[in-house]
Amino acid sequence: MKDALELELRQLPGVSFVSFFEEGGTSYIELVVAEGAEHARVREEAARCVVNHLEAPADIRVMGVPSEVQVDQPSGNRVVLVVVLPSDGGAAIEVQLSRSGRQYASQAVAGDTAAVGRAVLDALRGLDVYVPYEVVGLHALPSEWGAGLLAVLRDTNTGQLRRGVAGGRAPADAAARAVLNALNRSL
Amino acid sequence: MGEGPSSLAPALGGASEAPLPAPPDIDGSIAELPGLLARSENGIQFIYQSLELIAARYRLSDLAIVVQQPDRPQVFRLKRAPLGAGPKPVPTYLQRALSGAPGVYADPPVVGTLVAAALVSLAELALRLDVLGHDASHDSLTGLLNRRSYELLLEQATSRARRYGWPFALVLLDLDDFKVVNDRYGHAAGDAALRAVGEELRAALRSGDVAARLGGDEFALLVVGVENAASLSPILGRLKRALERAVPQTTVGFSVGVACFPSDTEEPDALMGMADERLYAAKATLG
Repeated sequence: MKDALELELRQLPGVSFVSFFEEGGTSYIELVVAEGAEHARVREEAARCVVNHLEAPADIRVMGVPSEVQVDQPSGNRVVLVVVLPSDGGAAIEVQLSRSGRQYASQAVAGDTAAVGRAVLDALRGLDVYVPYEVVGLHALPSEWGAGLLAVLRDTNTGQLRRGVAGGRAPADAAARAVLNALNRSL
Repeated sequence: MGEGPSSLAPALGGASEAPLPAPPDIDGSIAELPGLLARSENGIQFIYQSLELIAARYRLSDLAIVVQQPDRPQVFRLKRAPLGAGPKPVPTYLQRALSGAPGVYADPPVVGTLVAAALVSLAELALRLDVLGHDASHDSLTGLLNRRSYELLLEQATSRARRYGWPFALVLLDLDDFKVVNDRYGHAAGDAALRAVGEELRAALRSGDVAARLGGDEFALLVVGVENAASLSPILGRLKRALERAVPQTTVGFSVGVACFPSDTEEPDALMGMADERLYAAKATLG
């Protein structure tokens, strides 16, 4: 019953979001409509749909797309490591980066931190970042320095080496952070 | 999510010394989606169930999906939850979802790209099928059920009524002299009047009753819990007032033919035929 009602509500002019909830014993239906849609008309038509589908009355709220809070983009053009997570039942590692609202995922074999480093470079290229680097190696830091990895990258044009150090919740996480740290000044 | 499944290819190809890993599919979420779609009664149910599935798999506190449709995007949120309008700001990921770019918006943002792409594609298909199904069963002008759906519903109502002994009335309703509206005010005004009649019919009926447009200016109602035509007086009174509001330019009236289950007959075709005969008898008295 609710599914059929929701389908009808979503076909009303400008409606792009429908939710149902209860508060203080009253049923509410919240509709978000596109800019320019007539709220009163949408509410009236929604009320007619509700009568056909629900036994009890519902309070209908029509609102525009919330714009009072700006979409948070603290990173601007910066590259952000979204997540490093196990994939394919633990056989692989997925690295997700984002930049300017775009997101890109790349994959590496689990247990190979150098492969994670390469996956980070691939993801950066997927985000259209110019990265003329290759992974030379990822090395565990001496234990007295804490749990972390040292990433060494080579500039394929000049041969110059870049190094970055980072820790993480897991070696793969630390590897991704260390590679990004090595590239920090160039990204 | 910025990239689709094909975006994984460079990453896979880059690791030449290692065997190519399978596409990322945490805990087999993708494999479960088609089965879920097949088991769902409709597209909307599928969308919410798949959001539940993905949220549980990734241990998400919230999840929204944006599905592109021909005219505009549609945003769905886990558990049909509201935006929480009020002093509390709408979370950023939901604002991004409401901006309408198709994709998956999760808190935390950890849904794999391939899972997101599969979910969006299947949800898009499921919702489109829902809309097509709705269009095929409803009259495009008034939004009421069409003749075919009404006839199916009548058969179902008859079966239920036989099993449980629930009475109902079939009402055929035909606008009198509606041609005058078309001739005097044009077809656009006629269409607007029919739309208004449809809206008023819907508003005048109780929950559980059904209104349909059979064609032209002929409508049909299925009114539950009514044992004889006399019990319909209050409803017909509401309809008369509603019709006067719907077509105020002229004094268009309407004629009705009523047949009741089980007092008149228990057969759907016979009910229809009987209501039709009574409608034409009522029309004949208008002269």
